[in-house]
Amino acid sequence: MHLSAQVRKRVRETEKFVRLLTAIQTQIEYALTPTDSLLQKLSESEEFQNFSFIHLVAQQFFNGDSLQTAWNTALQKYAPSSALQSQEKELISAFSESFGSTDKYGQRANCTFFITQLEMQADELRKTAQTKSRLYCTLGILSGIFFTILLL
Amino acid sequence: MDAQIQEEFIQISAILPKRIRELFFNLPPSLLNSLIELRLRANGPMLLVSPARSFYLTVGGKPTYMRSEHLFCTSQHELQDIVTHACGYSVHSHQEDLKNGCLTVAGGHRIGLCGTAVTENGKIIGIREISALNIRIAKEIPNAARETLLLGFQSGLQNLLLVGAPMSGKTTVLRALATELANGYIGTPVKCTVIDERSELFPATRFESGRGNTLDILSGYSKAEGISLAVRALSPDIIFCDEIGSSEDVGAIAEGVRCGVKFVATAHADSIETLYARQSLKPLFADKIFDTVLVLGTKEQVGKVTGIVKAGEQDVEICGGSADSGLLHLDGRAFVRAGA
Repeated sequence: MHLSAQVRKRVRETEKFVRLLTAIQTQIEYALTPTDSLLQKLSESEEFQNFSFIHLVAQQFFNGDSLQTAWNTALQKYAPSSALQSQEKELISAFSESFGSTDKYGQRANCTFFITQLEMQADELRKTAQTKSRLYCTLGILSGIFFTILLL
Repeated sequence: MDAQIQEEFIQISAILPKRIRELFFNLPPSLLNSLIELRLRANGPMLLVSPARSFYLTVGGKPTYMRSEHLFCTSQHELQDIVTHACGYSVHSHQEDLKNGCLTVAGGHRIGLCGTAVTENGKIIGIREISALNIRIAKEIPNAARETLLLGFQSGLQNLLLVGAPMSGKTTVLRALATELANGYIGTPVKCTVIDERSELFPATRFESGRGNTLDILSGYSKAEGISLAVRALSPDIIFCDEIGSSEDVGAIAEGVRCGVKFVATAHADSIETLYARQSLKPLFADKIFDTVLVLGTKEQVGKVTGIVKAGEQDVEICGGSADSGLLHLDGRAFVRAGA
């Protein structure tokens, strides 16, 4: 059951990043928000105020790191306390390669691509979680029956 | 190293890759002090420009006037990094600047971009394959406007056009004029509005001291939009605009003057003749918008007035320090240029 809970946590965290990238895309596409204001806004927003990753990015960036360095350093610091695995981490890290370095259309394409990839990853994980949950449930019932038979 | 150099250097070095930054830290302060431009080329040597002489740096960071195979070169990737950094990692927010080939960074330093234009439906929408950058270092020069004030505002406010070739100090003089007039040069503080289209005249965090309380800065507005807004909402006595050139700018200034506002503007031209040859500016002279035109010099004469044309009531006037004298007939008007 613990393994299944871990997968569910991984799904929730991947979804959180999907929402983060969606918020970034919205800000860039509709308001052409500069990166410093964008990080400030996201850190202060109700949705992400408890999301330590974005606070770490903002902190690194305002300390003078390049955006890509800030993003990746934040990911390194955030990852150990999260359930994210290498597949999600690679996608999240790759997003930063073009973040802030192209025009509005380039940013839209970058956001859309990584949102789609992370959504697909979340779907996969959801299916895995379901399958594992069913498997563990079946195993539990079978074990119960087995022990009952033994006791009889 | 004095404080001003440090500030300028920190601002400029903040956008440079570490490899280049380290070279600068090793240059003598007197050399840093004299720099007015850094010219970086993709896969080419970096040229450092001072008014006296330009020089390269060797791979080891030593200044040299000679071209050789051992000069410090910058890569295209480094140029792209500088641009991305100068945009604050927000290239999407600087598309208009990139389209116009010029970025302004903190401190008012200007970066000219050279590359391949990206076009869509015949219009430039961006720039790619950046091949060269020209970083112009903005300097605060005390009393930069002294001569211009004496020549242009001794008897009160008037419409003044400052002309000069690139690097003649137009922007610096304009900034100083705005500050002096706002601080009461003509005896009383004047309500000044600066249309700072590229945020280089009064960038945030610089030139803040001694601005006066009557200096309003419209940052990021196009000149036409800024003038219209200022006239409508800020009731200025005088409006300052840098580098006018389009017919929209000319139309907005003419309209502003008709509303009773005075203007100080700058324009690119290395002489009165070339100024009058600029088609888009012709309506300004036909409608007698500017009372005085001052020509600024370059190199050793940076920021100094080298020629004056005054439009008098009888379409004639005066004087100045231009190299040759004579009578100019332009748009049916006669102007006398006094000899040196």
